[in-house]
Amino acid sequence: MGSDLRPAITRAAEAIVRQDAGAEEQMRALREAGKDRRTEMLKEIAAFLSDSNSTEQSMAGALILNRLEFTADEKIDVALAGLPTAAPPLRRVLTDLLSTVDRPEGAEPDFAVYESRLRKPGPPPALIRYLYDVSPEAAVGIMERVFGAGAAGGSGEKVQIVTRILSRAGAGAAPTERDLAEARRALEALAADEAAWWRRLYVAALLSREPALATPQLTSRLRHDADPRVREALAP
Amino acid sequence: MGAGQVRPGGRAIQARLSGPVLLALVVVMAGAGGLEAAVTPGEATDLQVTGYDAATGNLSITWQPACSAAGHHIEYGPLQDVSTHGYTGQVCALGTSGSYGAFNPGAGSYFFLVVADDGVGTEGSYGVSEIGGAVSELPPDTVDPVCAFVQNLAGRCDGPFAPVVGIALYRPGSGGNPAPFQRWQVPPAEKLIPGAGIRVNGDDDDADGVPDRDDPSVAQENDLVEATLTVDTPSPPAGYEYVLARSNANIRVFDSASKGAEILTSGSVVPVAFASTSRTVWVENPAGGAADLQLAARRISDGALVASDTAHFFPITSVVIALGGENQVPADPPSEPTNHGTFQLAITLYRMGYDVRMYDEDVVPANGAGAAYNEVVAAIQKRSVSHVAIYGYSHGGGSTNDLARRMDANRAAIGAFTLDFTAYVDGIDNDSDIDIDPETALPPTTAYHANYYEHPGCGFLQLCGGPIAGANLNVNVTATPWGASLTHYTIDDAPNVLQGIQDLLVAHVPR
Repeated sequence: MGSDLRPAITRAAEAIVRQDAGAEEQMRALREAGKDRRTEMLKEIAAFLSDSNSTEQSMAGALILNRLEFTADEKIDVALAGLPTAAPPLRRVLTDLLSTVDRPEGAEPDFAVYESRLRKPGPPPALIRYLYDVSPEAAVGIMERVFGAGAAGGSGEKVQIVTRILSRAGAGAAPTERDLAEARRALEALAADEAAWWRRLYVAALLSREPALATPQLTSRLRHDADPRVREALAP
Repeated sequence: MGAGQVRPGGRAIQARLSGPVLLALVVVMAGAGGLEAAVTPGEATDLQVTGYDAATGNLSITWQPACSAAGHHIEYGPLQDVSTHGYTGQVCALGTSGSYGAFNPGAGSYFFLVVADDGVGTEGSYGVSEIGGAVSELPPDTVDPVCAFVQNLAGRCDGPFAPVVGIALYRPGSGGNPAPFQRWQVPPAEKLIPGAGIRVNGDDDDADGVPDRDDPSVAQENDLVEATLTVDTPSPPAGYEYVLARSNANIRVFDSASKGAEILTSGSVVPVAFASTSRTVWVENPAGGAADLQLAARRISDGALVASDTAHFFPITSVVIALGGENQVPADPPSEPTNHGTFQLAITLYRMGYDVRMYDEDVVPANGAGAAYNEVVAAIQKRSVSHVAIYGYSHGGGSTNDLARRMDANRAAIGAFTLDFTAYVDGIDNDSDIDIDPETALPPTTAYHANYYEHPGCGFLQLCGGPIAGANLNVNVTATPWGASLTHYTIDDAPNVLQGIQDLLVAHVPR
């Protein structure tokens, strides 16, 4: 049996699309219904958005979501709870929720907002996966800050090398063989760091989106990595 | 000129006919049994005097029998009367063998010719000659003292050959477009002016590392222009042929969409055969430049054209990116015909000859990267495109700006291009699918930006765009007589909005 909130969300969205006089009233009713059920309300809105199949539904749902003014923690909690089992459409909505937290203006992600959650024992795997999905370089950066204090060396310089080469390629300039070799050397060094899973995870996440940088040796090493997060990140 | 001429007692003059104008043999054939013939005989050719028997005065002659002839006969007269076609005698029933060994008009000099007949009562053409300054049919022998035939030239089997030939062109193929357009014929009236746009085929559709222009076979080739060649008579009569010609090597012609066998190779003209009344060929533009393609029927002997059709090709120099609103899936025909105005306009522009790519705006993330960006870069770097236009609705408007910003930031790496035109239709920032902020930024370096938005006060539960500082055109449709009732959800389908963007794009972006 579905939540009673869902029909209310649908009615409000329809009124918004029609721009009729009842929209305000529908919205007030929706706010009242969810007053003490903010998490449930947010989940239901996310589900409504993931089921939407038109601009009308999508944008009206987005309007409702914004007007109910969910906090960053509410968004993070709902997203992290839902991501492990979410189907692709809902996963997209949940990651969009997180994007409003870490990229409120669409710029480069600022993952510092998740630092406190990462520092807790057993950081949520869904959060880690999300971070590396969005930006492997930003993810490894926050991981170094959280976990790297006792680790030897660092990833910064090597990540910069790879980022620079990929940035040029992404702009439309084909990478040279020299560039590719340099990037592969940096990735091989990071992948060989047995003590820092987050660096190896960076390499796996990067190769999954930039297969041209892979070498058979690198791929084989990561496929047999001791950390399941690394192995999973490399999987297609 | 005319027929073979012979001076008895002298040496036989060989009269070799190179064409119908010259002379003398004519043939006629007919229907049988007194029924009206549907086809009358053609003209015999190649009349030659092959021998002369001094003892008897007999001439031996040969000729190429006419088509559809049941018999032939000789018409002759005194040589001095050749100019007035003064026939004085006939030799009947020469059959269809094409030879006769006992022609003897008697002492003196004579002209003669061979005429085809139906063996019953109808004879065909006596050939043509220049009469009174014009090429005309030689007059028939109307006296007919021996062979009683009446000339009938209607329906003669050998012409005149005046086929109808044609070239029908279609807009370029999908070009890798994730939402391909339906096959669409270039309007015949535009076949020459402006002609048909064709992509410069420098990309690598089969990803084999070889630019398609240098690749003899491209399994996923999608940049060629389909051309249907038509003729009303698949097999031209003897002496005629169909040819395909190009004005220069800026175009190449293949027999399949994946290239395959090249029809026009190093030359500029090649005979083409038809198994039926039409065949399809595929045209490539390997490196830019314009060219004409002509299908013609011509006389083999002198190359004279008896029918032709020509199409002009010009290289496409622009790419248009159309970005729909949230959850609008690009398709042709649109999945919601009255609710996907962005894609309706894209389809219209494609049919007008623009190289358009329709995208779900989600392919453009906030940093502008992704499939649309890659397509623009490929067009510039591989297909000689130098003009870019982008427009989008709602989140597609926000993505228009995101894409333009990335293009500008990476301009040095991309290569030379101008962003000729951009447009927002109630643009909404697209930092995520749940972003509801109006897009307020002008796409950087755009040469012309049109901004259509609705702004009925932008209440608490209303989405709306807004004016863009620096835009060349800001239209608040809410303040117009035709757009006062439009909302964010209907503005993209408004005819005034779509026509406005179309007109402006056409005015600012070359094809």
